[in-house]
Amino acid sequence: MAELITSGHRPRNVDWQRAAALLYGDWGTSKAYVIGLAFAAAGFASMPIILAVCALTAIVGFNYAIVCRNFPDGGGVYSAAREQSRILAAIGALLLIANFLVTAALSGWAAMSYFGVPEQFIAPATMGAILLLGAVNYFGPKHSGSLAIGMAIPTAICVVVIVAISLPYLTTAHLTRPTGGFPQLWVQFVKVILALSGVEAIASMTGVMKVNPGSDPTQPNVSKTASKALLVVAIEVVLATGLLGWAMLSLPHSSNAVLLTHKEDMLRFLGEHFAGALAGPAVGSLFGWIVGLVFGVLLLSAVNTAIIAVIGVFYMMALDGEFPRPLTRLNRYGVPTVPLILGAGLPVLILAATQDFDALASLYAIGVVGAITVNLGSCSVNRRLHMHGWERVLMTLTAVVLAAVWLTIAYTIDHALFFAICVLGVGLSVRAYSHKVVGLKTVTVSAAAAEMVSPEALEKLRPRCAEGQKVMVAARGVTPVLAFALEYAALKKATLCVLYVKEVAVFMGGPPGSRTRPKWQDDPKAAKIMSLCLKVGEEMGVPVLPVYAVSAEPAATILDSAATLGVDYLMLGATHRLSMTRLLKGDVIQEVARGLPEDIQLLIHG
Amino acid sequence: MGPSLDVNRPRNVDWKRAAALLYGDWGTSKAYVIGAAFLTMGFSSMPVILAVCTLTGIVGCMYMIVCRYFPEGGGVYSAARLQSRLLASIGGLLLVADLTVTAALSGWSALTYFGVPPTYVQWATMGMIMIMGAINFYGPKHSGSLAVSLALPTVLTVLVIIGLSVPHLVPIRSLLNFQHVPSGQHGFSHHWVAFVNVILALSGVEAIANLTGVMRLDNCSTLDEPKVGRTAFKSISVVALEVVLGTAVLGWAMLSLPQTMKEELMRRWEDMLRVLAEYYGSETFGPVFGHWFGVVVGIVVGLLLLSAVNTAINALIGVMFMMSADGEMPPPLTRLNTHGVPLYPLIIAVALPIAVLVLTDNFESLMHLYAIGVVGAIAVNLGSCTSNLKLPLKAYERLVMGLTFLVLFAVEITLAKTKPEALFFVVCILGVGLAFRAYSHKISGLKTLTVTEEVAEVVSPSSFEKLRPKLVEGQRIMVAARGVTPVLRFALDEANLRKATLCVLYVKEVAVFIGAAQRPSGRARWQDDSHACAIMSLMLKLGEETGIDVLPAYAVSTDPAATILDLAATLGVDYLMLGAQHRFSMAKLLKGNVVEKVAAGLPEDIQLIIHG
Repeated sequence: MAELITSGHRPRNVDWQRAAALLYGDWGTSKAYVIGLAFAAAGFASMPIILAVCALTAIVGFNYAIVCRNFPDGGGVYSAAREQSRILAAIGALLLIANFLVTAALSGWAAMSYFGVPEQFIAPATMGAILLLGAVNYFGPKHSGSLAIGMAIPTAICVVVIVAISLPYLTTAHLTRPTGGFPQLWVQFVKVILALSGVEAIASMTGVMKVNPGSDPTQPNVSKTASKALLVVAIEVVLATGLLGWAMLSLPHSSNAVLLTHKEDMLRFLGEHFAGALAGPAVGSLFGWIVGLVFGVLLLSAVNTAIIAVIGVFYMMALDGEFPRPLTRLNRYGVPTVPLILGAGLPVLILAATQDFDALASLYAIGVVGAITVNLGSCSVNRRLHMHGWERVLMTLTAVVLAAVWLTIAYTIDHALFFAICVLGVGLSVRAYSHKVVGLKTVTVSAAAAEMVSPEALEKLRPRCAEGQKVMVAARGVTPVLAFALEYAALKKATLCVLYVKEVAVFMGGPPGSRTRPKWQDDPKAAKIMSLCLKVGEEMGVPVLPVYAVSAEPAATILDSAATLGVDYLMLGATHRLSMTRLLKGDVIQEVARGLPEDIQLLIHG
Repeated sequence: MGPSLDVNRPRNVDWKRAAALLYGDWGTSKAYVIGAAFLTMGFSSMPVILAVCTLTGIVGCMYMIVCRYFPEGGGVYSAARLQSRLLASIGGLLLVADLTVTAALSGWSALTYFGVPPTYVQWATMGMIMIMGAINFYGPKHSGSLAVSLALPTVLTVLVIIGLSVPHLVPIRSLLNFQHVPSGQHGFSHHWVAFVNVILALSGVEAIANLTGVMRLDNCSTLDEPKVGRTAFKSISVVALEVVLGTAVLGWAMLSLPQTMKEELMRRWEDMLRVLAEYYGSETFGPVFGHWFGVVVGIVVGLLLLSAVNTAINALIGVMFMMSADGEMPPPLTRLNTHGVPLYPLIIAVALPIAVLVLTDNFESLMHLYAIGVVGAIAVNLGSCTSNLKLPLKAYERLVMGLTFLVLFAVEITLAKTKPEALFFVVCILGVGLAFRAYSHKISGLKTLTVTEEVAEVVSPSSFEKLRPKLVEGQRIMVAARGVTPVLRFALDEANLRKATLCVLYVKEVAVFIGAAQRPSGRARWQDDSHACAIMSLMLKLGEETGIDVLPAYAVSTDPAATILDLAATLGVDYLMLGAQHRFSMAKLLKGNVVEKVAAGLPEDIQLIIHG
């Protein structure tokens, strides 16, 4: 009896445009508050700071193109650092969580400012928006996650229009020289580094990106998809931030007080001001309103992305044994319930504790800069990664600069370090508890002893799957289609592949699947089906091959598995679905029927 | 390859010496605690002083328990290592942070007590720490005794100050309120922060926990199952009582001073004991006596504070050496100079406090950095012991220890929140230390794995240990080797003639005062010591050729003579052979002669052969 488990691959259906749009949903929002904060930090002397932030952003973007090339199955900080040490990976991921939590709160606050919510109501309104988004995400992120994609084009248009209408007014006359020495300039620069977190999002996404043409499926390469997406967005972010910053600093010095008032919704103010100057106050007011709406919605989508990302990181770490098992429990829409509560609850808690945009901004950078430093630092010392010498040098230098930035943030920004330490402390305590509960132990041994017990060594002992004629049945429960499939396989003398796809509606965070295979034995529902099929198969003389996959898109996974295993027949059971579920998720059968290759016969059993 | 032996360090520290050593650190706390309390709460600081005394007393009680269950050294590193190596390293590094600041703070305070003008205190402290480092290059044996000899004069001084102040003490009830605290600074949170700011009297307990490995055993306990509960109890209880009562009564004396002196007290809060001595001395016997009594107090307390600097430097060396011997710090940190002092740890132990002094130019800033390290280390120690179910703690002991841990944890969080520079300092120490740890693991070929408990069991050192052959008993000649000298050939000939087993003993002299007791990863191996390896390999080869059973015995000790005696008696050897050698007069002066000490202490039934 073959008792094998074949992990399903996640479908690689994110092309460079979609990846760029998703990245833009986070990275693109940065300009909404970066230039305002730069002005608050250095006034009319902020141009060098804005340019320095743009340069750093571009360099970090370039480094992440290298990271994505080397980690085609997910190259976020957790994956990259895990090759060095599990604890470092956990620290990197916790810093990322700290970043996403603040991103959610900060973007929500900025969104409310752009919508024109009165100042005294911004904090409660932001909390309400976050809780609402949490509630929407209870039903899965598939549709809310597309908001960022839908908003990318309107936002880019808005930015281009603001830049265009400000062109006639651009001047260097109002720029002033920075006062103070290098230390003061450095501290001001560090305070404005708020435009980096998006790169971690795209690195986590490489596991679902389309591979390069001609790339070997067993050794996927997504360098072109990732590079294109990064390049396009990085250019937009760098150029637009630079130009919008220049536009802001082209206003006369008499606007100082007004600019400071509008530091939280600077783009709206710029749109309103330049459109008003060009076409009259009414047009200015209308355009300002449009810019506010577009950026407000994009910022809200950034809140949503951050919540989903937090859920993804929690889920990924829990699957990897770094957080308690209950964090992997899914609701009936495939959403991990506890991570969802944490993803929505923690930003609300942070808002309740800070109640101020500047305080939120001060907590932001320590997480993302820490995570990126850990990622780049881990990659630069990882000799197994394929990098040119100059790429490694550049990455090391970038990591060193970011480490200096991190230390400066820790030293100069009140409470940022305390916040990061709290997140790390709580996270690592939960990790230690989790290890204890699941019976994991961390030991320090000689390299030779470590080799003896490495997963690779154990993997070599695992029996391989024998090829043969196959019927595949996709099971969602103990339904009549299973009996039909067993009879059919007995008649055809075929191997019966019983496929169970566990639907997990976690948007990001697939990478650990490549490291820790999901086991049907750990899934009570799958175990019930598989055990039954194996028992009945043994009685009937049918070789049964359990196939278990965890996927955000069951239809694509069924198609993928059917094609990969080269089955001759695919059997699906028709089920009744509630209209609500159908509306939110679509129907798996319809999707499979549409996408199944011609040479595989589809049998739908009703 | 024959088996080798584990050797115990001599247990020659009795409760009085342990108490004196503890007092050298803990006893100094009152020199700045009451001043710090006055700075924080002015004439309303009595509740805070009493709270700090209570916490000190409770922590002292907890460490009595810790010492009872860790007779081979119960510092944070040993206690936390039973939970996780990483946690042990974090605890060890927090202790490094604490000791670094202790050295700087005690040095600053000492020079203030000596009356050095404030403008020169910073630079004078740096110079003094360098001198301490230079002295410690020759080993800590003699400088370490300073604390022991100063304990009694300090206690006397404290008693005299208290005695002189008694007639002037105001009713204690009038001090138990917050009436002098400015409005707006009332409420539990303000008082809690003030309390946290004054917690500066805890670090000594970690020092005594490290000493249990060399403490005299309790009666009716054996080397195989050592118990030092009583020795530790006596030493901690005596010192804790002095510290708690002394601090409380001196605080009472300080707050009994006239309120017109508020400005002077605020100005001279760094040498408050001297102020008390001057004032109460003058009140009782006139201004001349007051002045000179102040000078005497300044000298005595200043010297004790200087010895505290020395103790902190030695403890720093000890912690780094211990961690590096355990593979948690790079191996070069175990390299010893000719006097048995680890060279790199010595340099670091001097450089770190100096670096801290360069970056902080006032006493208050130093104080801010102090508590986060020691409170963190003690919290890690007590937290590790509480959650260690293998320790046979009584239920109420575990409960009180758990509660103490929670209070200290809350103190640590408050320190981190209210003193950002302290948090930054400790994060820097942890960051650099853990980076060194990772590098050290890499070059030592160590790998950290997270595996199931069953797999961990398979690869644990104890599994390998079970396979090690046990020692066979027999007639023995022991030769203590310090090099490839003629005495070795003589011993081989003798063993051949007498058909005896030849124990070749090599004692590596390590002049690390505190913390050398721990080698939690396992025993010291002669194979790791190039000098010992050369001797042992030669003897094993010659033994094999001549048909003699050669048994290598290797020990690391601060006191070679005591170790040789200890081992000779334990193994019941029939002959002990030593080679006489020339020694430089300086070395003789500092270290004494091993041969002379062994000859003086060897039991009658073991024959001593000195081969020259």
